[in-house]
Amino acid sequence: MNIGIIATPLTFIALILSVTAYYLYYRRNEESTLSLARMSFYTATVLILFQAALLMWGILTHHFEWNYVFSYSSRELSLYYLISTFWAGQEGTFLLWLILGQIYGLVIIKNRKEDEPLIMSFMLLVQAFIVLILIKRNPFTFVWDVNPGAFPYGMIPANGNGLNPLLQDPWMTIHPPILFSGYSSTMIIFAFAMTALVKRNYNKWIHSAYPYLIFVNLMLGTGIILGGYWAYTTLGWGGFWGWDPVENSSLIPWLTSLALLHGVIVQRKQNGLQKTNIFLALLTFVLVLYASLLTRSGILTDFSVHSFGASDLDQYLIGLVFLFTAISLAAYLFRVKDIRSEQARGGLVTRETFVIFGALSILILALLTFIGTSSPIITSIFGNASNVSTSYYNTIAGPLAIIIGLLIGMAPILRWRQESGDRLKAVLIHGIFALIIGGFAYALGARKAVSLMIIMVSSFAILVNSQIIVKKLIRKNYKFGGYLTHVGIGLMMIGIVISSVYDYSKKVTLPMDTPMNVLGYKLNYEGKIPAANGKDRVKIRVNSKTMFAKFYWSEYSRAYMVGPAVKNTVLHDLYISPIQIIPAEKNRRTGQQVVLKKNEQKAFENYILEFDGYEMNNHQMQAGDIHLATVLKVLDKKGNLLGTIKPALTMIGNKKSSISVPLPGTERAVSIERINVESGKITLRISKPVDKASPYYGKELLAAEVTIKPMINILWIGTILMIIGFLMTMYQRRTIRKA
Amino acid sequence: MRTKYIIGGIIIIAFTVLAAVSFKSSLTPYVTIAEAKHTSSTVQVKGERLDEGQFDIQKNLFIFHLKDDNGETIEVEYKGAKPGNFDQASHVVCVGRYEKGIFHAKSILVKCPSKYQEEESKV
Repeated sequence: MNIGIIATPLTFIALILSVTAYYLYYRRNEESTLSLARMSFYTATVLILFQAALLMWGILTHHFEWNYVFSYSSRELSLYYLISTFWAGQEGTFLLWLILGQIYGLVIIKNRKEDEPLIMSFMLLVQAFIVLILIKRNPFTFVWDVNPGAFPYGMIPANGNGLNPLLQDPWMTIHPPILFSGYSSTMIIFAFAMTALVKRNYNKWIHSAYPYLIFVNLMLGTGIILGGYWAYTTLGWGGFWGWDPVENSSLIPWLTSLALLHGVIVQRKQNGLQKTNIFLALLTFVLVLYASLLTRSGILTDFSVHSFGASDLDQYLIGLVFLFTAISLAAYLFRVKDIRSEQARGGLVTRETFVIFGALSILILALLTFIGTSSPIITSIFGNASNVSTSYYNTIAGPLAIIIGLLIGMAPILRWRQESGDRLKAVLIHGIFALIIGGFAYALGARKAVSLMIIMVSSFAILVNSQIIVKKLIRKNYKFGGYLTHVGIGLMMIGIVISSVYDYSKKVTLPMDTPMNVLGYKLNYEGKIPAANGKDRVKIRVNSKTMFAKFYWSEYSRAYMVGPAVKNTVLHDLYISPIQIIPAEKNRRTGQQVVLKKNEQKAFENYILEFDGYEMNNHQMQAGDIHLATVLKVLDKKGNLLGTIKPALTMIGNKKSSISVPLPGTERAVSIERINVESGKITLRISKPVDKASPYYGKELLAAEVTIKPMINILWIGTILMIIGFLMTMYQRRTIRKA
Repeated sequence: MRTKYIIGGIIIIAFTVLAAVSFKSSLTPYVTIAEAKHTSSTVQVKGERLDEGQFDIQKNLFIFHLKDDNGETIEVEYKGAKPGNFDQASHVVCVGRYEKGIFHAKSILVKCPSKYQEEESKV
């Protein structure tokens, strides 16, 4: 047995011991239990790091007798991708979660002495349950234990399966660790909220939890954005966001954590929203677990472009979601009557009311996205499992974006706790500028009301927040992270609307070495360029610039790997997604299918075809060879017989071929495509030569979708500003705490 | 003081209604071919592809035949070239609507038979 497999249950024991000891210390306050708790925690940390190091070592040194290494890596991988193999599979991602969780634990021990026992026991309880998954699915399991049929005991496979080519992308090496640190950090917020409930300390916890909460927001947001960028540049989904269940399931906890962040800001100012904030903290964590269930189980297989392997973990994950939902809900309901939140003071036009409306809008988006994502589960209760199309999400996200943009623009100028309607005059000028920008957008062709409104309110929000930043900069006050984040959000909304609502695309077939004009660009397909590592690319000349798009057969995925060529210009992206390469020999003739039943007549152009029956002909043939002809009468429109033709299928030895015959008096040829014995139908293919003057004649073709995505750079700039804003806020919180 | 609760309430009610309406209208149920033939709304049909299909360059149309689990077949027409990995897929999902003997697919989801763990490693 591998030493790693022994380490996993030991980790579980150490964590459970630590949870228990921490809890006892909380109850009895005996120093000895505290040191036991810490010792067990450190032991678990060492064990987890040991397993991680062992797995990494196994990957780097090609221990293909381990199922994980065998399943996700191969000798051909470069060091870079060998490292990312670590989180290519479920076991590795859980291990990554565990490492991050232990790091957060170390930070908590260092910073939060007074709450350490309870926070740690809740966090480590979650960790222990994650370790249980690893006990069930251990990365160090030998291949012959997993698949004894294929691998005799003790036989080390010469090479591994290799890494999914989609993961072999520079963005994919950083996207999972970042997203995971976001996911696992919701565990901290969960532990803080649970501790607050146990200690009946509903107000103070938010102060200590605040920097961690910003960390959660930063990491989830960055992870989601990197995922979107990866989908855009590598997957070639044609966009950065597709409302796919996998994407949604990471978006939902981010939205609830954003709402929580705003709720916490209000509570810090005026002690309101205590119940709401604890609820949102618990909810965010449960939603992360729910996300793990959705994306790791087979539940949504039919509804996502991702294919999920049904896994034996389903039951366990469902159990985990229910367990923590139950724990959270029970603790919450048990204490909720006890929470005496102060009424949110102040009237309608106050900062807190606007911030609360903002949080409410974010929550509505989270809830409706949750309902949409879960629609296959919801509808399966009533009948056929159905999925909502992306129009559902777009319909609700548009109006919410308008509200959010308006609030982001107005809230910053209002006073806390005081009616401040008088301040609204100050942003009148920004509003006028926003209207002018809207007028420009209209003149440039933006005609949809919702999009136009989003562009205007976002501009308004950007103007107001930028002005505040400038004012602060002049006073050498650098605490403007929040405003910068909101400028970023405003830019993102504009970028999203313009690039996805006002994009235009065309499906084209590009003949090789023949320049074609597409959407204002001269595109010339110059053929498929083989690559030494098997990752062939198609070469496309765009005006005078040569570009490459991924296009190769992957044995690993048993599929073609296709990626876009993206030409980024200041005002727009030219996005070329290859679809298919059609070989030259297929383009000498073009054809159509006709399906016929016996004795049936069907019109085809100026003819009527009648299928009279079959003719077997074994004449001059070897035994076992088959020559099956179909007898077809060809008539003209008036019903005059023009002739009888007999296209046939032959089977000589193992070689199947189709014999085509000319349609009387034309250049067309008729052949049998398929005979369906069950239904008695035959499918004929009637083909004619492609016009020799046509640019397509006899040339290799590249079918591709060409899209112009206007203003997408605004989106990327917005995301960067948003991330910088979060980083600034977090850094400043840290320095304040130190001071 | 009360106005803000009223406004909050209005926002919630408005979005509940909006969501309910668009949820219903954007729901694309999975149906059998027989069911697809009897409705004019957008549906999803999952089935086995019967042939490699034909791509008409001049019309920019891709046509193939689909058979569902009940053994019924249908002709599917898709605007554009053959989707990537079509030939490798045993089963495809077509989203679209049936009209005059032909299923007009707005999109075709190709399900590869491969062992293919979700490419994004998410919790």
